[in-house]
Amino acid sequence: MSLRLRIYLNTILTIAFILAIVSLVVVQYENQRKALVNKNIIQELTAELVPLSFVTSDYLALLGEPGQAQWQAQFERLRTLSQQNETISSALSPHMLSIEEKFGVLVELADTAGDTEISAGHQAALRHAASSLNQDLQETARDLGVLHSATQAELLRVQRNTLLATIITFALLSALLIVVADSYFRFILHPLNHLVNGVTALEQGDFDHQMPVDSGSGSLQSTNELGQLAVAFNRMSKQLQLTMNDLQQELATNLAITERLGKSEERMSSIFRVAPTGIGLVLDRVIMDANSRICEMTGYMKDELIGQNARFLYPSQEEYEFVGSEKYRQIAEGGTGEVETRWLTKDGTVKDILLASTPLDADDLTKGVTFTALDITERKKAEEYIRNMNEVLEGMVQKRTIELQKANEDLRSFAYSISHDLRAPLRAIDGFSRILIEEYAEELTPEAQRYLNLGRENAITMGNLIEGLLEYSRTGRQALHLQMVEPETLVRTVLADLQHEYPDHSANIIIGKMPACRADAMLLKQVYQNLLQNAYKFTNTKPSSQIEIGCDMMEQQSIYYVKDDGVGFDMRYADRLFGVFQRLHGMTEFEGTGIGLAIVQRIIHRLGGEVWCEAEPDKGATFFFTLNPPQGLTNE
Amino acid sequence: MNKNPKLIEILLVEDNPNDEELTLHALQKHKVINTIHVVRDGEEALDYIFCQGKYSHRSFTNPPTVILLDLKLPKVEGLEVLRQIKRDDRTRTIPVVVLTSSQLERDIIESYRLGINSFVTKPVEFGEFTRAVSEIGLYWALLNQPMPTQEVD
Repeated sequence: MSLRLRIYLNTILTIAFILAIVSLVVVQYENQRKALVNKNIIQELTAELVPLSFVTSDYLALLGEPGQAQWQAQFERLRTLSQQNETISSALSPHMLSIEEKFGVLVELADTAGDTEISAGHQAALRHAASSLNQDLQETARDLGVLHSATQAELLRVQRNTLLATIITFALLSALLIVVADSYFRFILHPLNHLVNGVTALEQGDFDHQMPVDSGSGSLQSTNELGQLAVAFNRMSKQLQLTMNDLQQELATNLAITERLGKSEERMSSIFRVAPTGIGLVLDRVIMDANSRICEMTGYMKDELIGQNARFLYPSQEEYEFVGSEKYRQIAEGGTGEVETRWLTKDGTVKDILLASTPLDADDLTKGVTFTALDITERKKAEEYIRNMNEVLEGMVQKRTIELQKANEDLRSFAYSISHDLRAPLRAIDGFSRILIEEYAEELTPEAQRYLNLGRENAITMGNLIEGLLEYSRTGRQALHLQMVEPETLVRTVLADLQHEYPDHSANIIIGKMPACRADAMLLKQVYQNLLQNAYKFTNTKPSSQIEIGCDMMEQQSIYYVKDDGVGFDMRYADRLFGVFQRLHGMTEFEGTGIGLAIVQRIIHRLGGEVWCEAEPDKGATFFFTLNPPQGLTNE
Repeated sequence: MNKNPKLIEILLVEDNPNDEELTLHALQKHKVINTIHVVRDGEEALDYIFCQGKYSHRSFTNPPTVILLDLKLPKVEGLEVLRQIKRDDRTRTIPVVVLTSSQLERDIIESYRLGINSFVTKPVEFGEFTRAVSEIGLYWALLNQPMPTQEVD
């Protein structure tokens, strides 16, 4: 049962017992009092009997009215006394009546006696009545005595009962108290002890401790409040245990995280501190943080920088303001800003600084701006130096260019002069010789004419040589006008000219498909001119010949060719072919200055290509050339 | 170019005596009979054309019919002479044939830009030379009647 009930019961029982005891006490007291009262009455009655007897005697003596009244008064007193208690009253009332009666008789006798001499008989009757009265009185006294003893015995008995009852009740009370105490111990103290132990254990961190519930005497009972408390407490313990576990896990995790964070923080901090570039944090132009490098760069200690407005780092107000406005403008536009500026160090030197900034939060500049500062003094010096060098070089280049241009110009006018001045005498030689031959033929012997002709021929040869040289020179110097050209078009033009020049030449011309190419049209035409002229020249000895012009389109480049089946040449001498004035045939066999192929080679090289040939004596020759380097490389 | 047929005048501006002789020979040979006046340098050419200096007796109303101009000249270059002729309204309309041994493009372009009528490269071979000159000569000869007499300075 619940403690409350138990306590109620215990309390009620105790109260009941107490009431019982009290009532018992009261009852016994009452009994005792009654008994005492009776005893007192009896004692008083007894005491009052004596006077009555005296009074009776008195009356007998006197037999008068006062005596009677006295006797009656006394008797009344007695009667009143006896009537105080019913037992006594009932015990004494016959006596009382008898006494009264006998007195009455006495009185009557007395009265009848009169004042005279009382007769003997009368006196005898009086004495008889008086002795009867005294007898009654004695009986009454005797009864009173008996009553008194009874009362005494009653009193003793009551006292004895009282004592017994008291003993019994106290015994019972003790038993009750023992039960209560037991109850108290068993249902309160021990459980409480368990509770205390439990709490103590919990306090000491033992969450596993479970308080014993329903496990026997002295343990907590789940039926009562303490037991329920214990149960709840046990539950709480378990819960605490779980929570504790969770907390411990969380703590462990947190510790791990904290450690990681700590390491990361450490690393970040280190990076910040020792970074080879100055790094810092600024808020509204006030320096909030700066790393060692900044300190090195500026010569200030860290605590001289933190909290200060950056103004003191700048050599002038304009510089400071320029950096501010420029930087914030850049940040507003592109999120980050970089500006070259100058800083004033503690010892007064001015350094060139590359200052880059990014706000920590692009949308909230109040979180601050992180900046890096790089000392570019050396770099700027180097730049200055390079700039100066460039200017110097530029000047030199310009000078050289002018010199080159001048040289080129000189060369040009030189060539011009050669062209003009060297040809004039040749013209004269040729011209006058011609006049001689034509107009003075009759006066000249055939031998003389032959000599003159030889002279003329040589003049012509010289002219051709000069022409060839000038040509060769020009192909090297003139500017390239690159464009997309169709080789076929050029070839046909050249062929048309050649047909004109060699009208008797019957050659089978085959023109293959040739891709358009990027080249100088005039120079390429020159190439075909020279190659085709050679083809014509060296097939002229044959009655019929074939000239093939085309292109092998390979993967990486196109190889153009001009092929003839003419007189050919020995490949052993092929490397001399492209030399200036080099000829593999005598002047008497084929005319020509030997400059044509040299010109071709020069042009092809200028156009970024290569030229080579394959030939066999009497089988003909094929000249190959490419225009651009293989795919993947750039040409000029 | 409506000219008095009697006064066909050729101004030959040539410094080289050989070339001069050959030119004259060619013209004569092909019967280009006109009045040929020869000047030997650019300055003299300008004096002649602009009727100044030693030719101040000349008048603009009587310009040469054609000028055969060599480009390489002493004192004043042929191109400069050409420039001056073409710059002046009084002389711009005179036909100019440039005789030169130069094949340089620059000259060609320059000459055409300045509005010459013909450009002939003096070839080394005499036949070409005479043919070139005579073509010009014949052209004018066709247009004009040949004079019976010729004066050569």
